Amino acid sequence: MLQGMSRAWRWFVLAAAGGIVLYFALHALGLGGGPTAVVYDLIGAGAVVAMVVGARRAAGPARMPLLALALGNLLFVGGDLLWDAYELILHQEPFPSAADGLYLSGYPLLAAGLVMLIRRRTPGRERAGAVDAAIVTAGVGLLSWVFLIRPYVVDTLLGGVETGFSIAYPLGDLLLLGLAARLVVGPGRRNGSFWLLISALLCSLVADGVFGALNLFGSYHAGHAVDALWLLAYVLWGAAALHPAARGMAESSPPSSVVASPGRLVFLAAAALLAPATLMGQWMLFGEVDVIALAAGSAVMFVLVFLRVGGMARELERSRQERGSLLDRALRAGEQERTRIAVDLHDGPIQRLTVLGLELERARILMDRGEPDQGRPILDRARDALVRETDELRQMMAGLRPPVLDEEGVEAALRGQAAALSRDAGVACQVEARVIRPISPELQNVIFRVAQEALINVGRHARATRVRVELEAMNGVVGLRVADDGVGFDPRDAVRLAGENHFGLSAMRERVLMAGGTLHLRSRPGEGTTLEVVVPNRVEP
Amino acid sequence: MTGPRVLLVDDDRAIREALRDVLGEVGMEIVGEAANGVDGVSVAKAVEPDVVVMDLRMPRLGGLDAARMIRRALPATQVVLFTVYDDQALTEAGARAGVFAYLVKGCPPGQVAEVIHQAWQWKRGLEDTGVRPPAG
Repeated sequence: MLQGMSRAWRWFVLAAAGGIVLYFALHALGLGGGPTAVVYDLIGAGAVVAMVVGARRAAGPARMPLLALALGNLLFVGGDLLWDAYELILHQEPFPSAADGLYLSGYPLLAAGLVMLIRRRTPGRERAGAVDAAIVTAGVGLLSWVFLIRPYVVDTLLGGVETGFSIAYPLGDLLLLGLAARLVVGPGRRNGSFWLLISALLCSLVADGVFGALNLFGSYHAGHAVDALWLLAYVLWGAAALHPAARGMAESSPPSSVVASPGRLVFLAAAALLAPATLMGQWMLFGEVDVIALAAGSAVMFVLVFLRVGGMARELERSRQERGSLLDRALRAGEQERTRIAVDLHDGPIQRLTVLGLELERARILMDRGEPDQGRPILDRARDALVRETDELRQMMAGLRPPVLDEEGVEAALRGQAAALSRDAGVACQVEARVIRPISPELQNVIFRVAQEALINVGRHARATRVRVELEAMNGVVGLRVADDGVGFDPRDAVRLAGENHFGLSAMRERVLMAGGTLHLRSRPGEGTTLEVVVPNRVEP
Repeated sequence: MTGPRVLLVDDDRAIREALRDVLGEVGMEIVGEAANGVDGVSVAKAVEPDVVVMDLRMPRLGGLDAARMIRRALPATQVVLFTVYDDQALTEAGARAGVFAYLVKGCPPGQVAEVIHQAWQWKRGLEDTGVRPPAG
C-alpha cells in the first residue's frame, strides 16, 4: 500500500512535469492557443484529481483539509477553463468576468483548508506562531499595498467593481500568505508532504504577485514564464496530497521552544524590515512616499513586535517558575527516595543481620556448653540466611544502580530490562538501538530510568503481547520510543493519571523535563500505548 | 529460675524469636512479648518484668514514649533500648527517658545478655537498698 502510494506520487510528478515541458514546447513551436490551453487545463484538472485521491487515501485528520484545498483548486481550474473559453472561443478578454468569480471563490476554500490544517496541527493555543505569521503578513502586506493594491485604488479610470476585483486578488493572496506563514512557524509534523504543500502555496503566491506586477507595469501573455509557476503550483498541490506522508501532515507535534530560534529571529527581522525597505523602494521608483501607509505599517509592526516580546517575556517567566518548581520536586523526590532506602535498610537487612548475630551467639553458647548437636543446625540455618541476605543486598544494589549501566552503557541496560520483562511478564520485548553519537552519562540515567518505568508499566498494566523499544542518538538529540500492543487507555485520562502519579508518569515527565527534553504519551483504548521522549544530548568533547 | 524476668517489645517477630532463644539459653525467663509500644506498656504493667528490651521505632507508640510510661508505672523495672539507630541525640533522649542502656542492633550479640544482666543487677541493688530511682 505504502509502496503504491509512493509510486503514484512519483508518476504524477513525472507526468505533470512532462506536461509543463510540452506546454512551453508548444508555445515555442508557435502552437499557442487551443493545444496549450488543453495541456494547461489538463495539468490543473490532474492536480485536482490527485488531491481528491490523496485525500481519500490519507483519511484521518488530513482528509477534510485536503478536500477543501482540492475544492479550492477545482474552482481555479474552473476559472482557467472559463477564461480559455472567453479567449479562444469568444475572443474576448472581459474584466471582471465569471472566470474572476470562480478564481476568487477558490480563495476562501483554500483558506478554510489551511485553517483546518493549522487547527489540527496545533495542540491548544499557540500565540507566538500567530504573531510571527502576522509580522510576516504585515511586512509583505505593505509591499503588496504599495506595488499591487494602491495603484488600482488611486487609478481614477477604473470603476468601483473593477477596482474591487483587482484588489481582491492581492488581498486573497495576503490571507493565504498569512496562513502559510502560520503553518511554517507553528507546530506540527514537517514531513515531505508538508513541504510540498508549502511550496505549492509559495509558487502560487509568487506567480500571482508577478502576474499582478506584469498587469500594472508590463504585459502578460499566455506562455509567459509566470505560467510555469502556476503550473508548478498545481503539480505541487497534487504531489503533496498523493505523497505517502500526507496522512501525517495534520498531526500535531509539541511546540519546539518557547523562545524563537536564531533563524526564526532573522526571518522575523527580515519581515519587519520589509516595510521600510518597501517605502524606500517606493520613494526611489516613484519619488514619493505613502505617509499613511508608512504610519499604519509602522504602528502595526510595533504592536506585533511588542506582543511577541511580551509573549516571550511571559514564557520565560513561566519557564523560570517551572524550573524552580521542578527543582523543588526533584529535591523532594531525592529526599523521599533516601527515606525509602533508609526504611528498606531498617526493616530488612539490619533486622535480619541482627537476628543472625543473635542466633550465632546462641550457637556459641551451645557449643561452649558441649552441645554441638544442638548448635550445628543453628549454624547451618545462619549460613543459609547469610547467603540469602547477600543475595537480597545485591538485588537492592542492582535496583538502585544497575552495574551494567556503568559497565556497558544504556543500550545493554535496556536489553537487560527487556530480557527481564520477557522472562517475568511473558511480553516479547525487542530493543533496537541506533547510537551514532555517544550519550552523556547523565542522559543515560534519564533514558534508562524512563524506559525502566515504561517497561514496568507495560508488564503491570498494558496486557501487551509485544513491546518495542527504540533508542536513537544522533545530531545532538537522543530519542526513546517504547511502543506496546496492549489495551491502551483514553488519552483524556493521561493528565488525571499523571496528576495522581499513576504509572510513575509524573516522575518520568519530570526526569525528562529536568534534562530539557519532551515526553509524549499516545494511546487509545485497544490500540496500545506509545511513549516518545526526545532529549538534547550534550556530550563533552 | 535464677535469671531475670524479661519482656521483649519489638515489631519484628524474627528479632523477638531470636532474642527469646538466645536469652533462654543463658537462663533468662521471657515473661512476655509485644509488637508495639502500646501493647508493651500494658504487658509490662501486667507481668512486672525485671527488664524490658525494647525497639525504638514501632507502630502505634515508639520505644522512647513507651519507656517513659513503663518507668513511671514500674520505677524499678529497667528498660534497655535495642535499636537500629546509632545516634547520639537519640541515646541522650533515651537517657532522659530513664532507660538503663541504649544498645545498637549489630553490637556484639553477647553484649545483649550482658547488658540485660547488668540492668537486672542494678534493679536488685535498688530493691536491696530500698532506694527507688526517680521516674524518668
